Amino acid sequence: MTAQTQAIDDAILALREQGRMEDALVRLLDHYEARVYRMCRAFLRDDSWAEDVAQQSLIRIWKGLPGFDGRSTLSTWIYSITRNRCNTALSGRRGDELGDEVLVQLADECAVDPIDADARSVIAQLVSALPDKYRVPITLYYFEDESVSEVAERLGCPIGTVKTNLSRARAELRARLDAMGLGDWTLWN
Amino acid sequence: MELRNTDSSDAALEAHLRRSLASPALPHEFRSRLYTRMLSEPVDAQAQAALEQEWRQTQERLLAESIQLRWQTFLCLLGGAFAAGAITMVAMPWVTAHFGARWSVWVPVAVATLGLVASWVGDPRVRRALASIG
Repeated sequence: MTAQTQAIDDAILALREQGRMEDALVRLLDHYEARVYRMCRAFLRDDSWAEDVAQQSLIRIWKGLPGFDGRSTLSTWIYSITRNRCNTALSGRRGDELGDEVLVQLADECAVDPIDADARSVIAQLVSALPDKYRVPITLYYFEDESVSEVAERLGCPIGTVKTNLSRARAELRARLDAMGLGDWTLWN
Repeated sequence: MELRNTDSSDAALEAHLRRSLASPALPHEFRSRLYTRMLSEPVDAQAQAALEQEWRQTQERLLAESIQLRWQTFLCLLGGAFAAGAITMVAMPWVTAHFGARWSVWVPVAVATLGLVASWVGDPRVRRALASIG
C-alpha cells in the first residue's frame, strides 16, 4: 500500500467519522472507482460486464462503509469485496474461455505473415486465453503499472505467489508464441 | 533445438506486454450511472444498515454473556473451594472423634475396598456365578 493510498484511506474514514458520508463517497470514488473497474476488467475480460460488476462492488462497498471495522486496511477491504464479486460473477459464467479452436484460428491468421501480425492484438488475445491464475495477475500488473506487492494486495495472496504466477504467465506466453511460429522477436515491430 | 537470446527475448516480451495491456479507461459516464443505481437501492441500504446494527447488538450481547459466564464460573469455583475448606474444618474433629487419629489412613482404604468389591459384585460373570451358587 502506498503512502498516498494510506492518506486517502485515512481521509475517507475521517469523513465517515464526521458523518460526512457524501464527501466520503466522492473521495472514495475519486480514488477507487477506476481501480475497481480495472480490477473487474482484468478478471472478467469484458468492458460492459466489468462495468456492471464494478458498480455492484462499489455499491456493496458504499453500503458496508458505515460498518467497516478496520480489521484490515480500507484498500484491502475494498479489493476483497471486488475480488469476491468478480469470482461470483465468473462462477456463474464458466466455460466461455478461449478454446483451442480460437487459438488455432489465431495461429493460422498469424502464420500467414508474422510480420503483418498485429502484435498488440495477438498478445492481448494470448493473455486473454491464459488460465485465470496467470491471466489476472499479469493483466493487473500491466494495467495498473504497479508493483508486485500492490498486485498481491489486490488479489489477497502472498507476493511470492504473484511473482511465481507472473513468471509462469510469461513462460506460457513465450511457449504459445513459439508454437504459433511467432517466437522470433526480430519479426515484431 | 533453437537457441535464443533469453534476455533480449524477455525484454521484447515485456515491452509488448506493456503496449498490449494498456490500462483501460473508465467507461464514459460511469459515475453518473453508478449514482443512478445507488439511488435505486435506498431500501436495500436501509435494510443493510439495520442488519449491521442487529449484528453489532448480537455481538455485544454475546460478549456480555460470555463475560458473565466467566464470572459465574470463577465465583462457583471460589465458593466451592471455600465450602470444601469449611466442611473439612467442621467435619475433621467429628471424624477424628469417631474413627480415631488414624482415620485418614483406614477410611480411604475402606472406601477403596468397598468400591472394588462393589465393582466386582457388579460384574455380570460374578453375578451369574453367585446366582448359580445361591
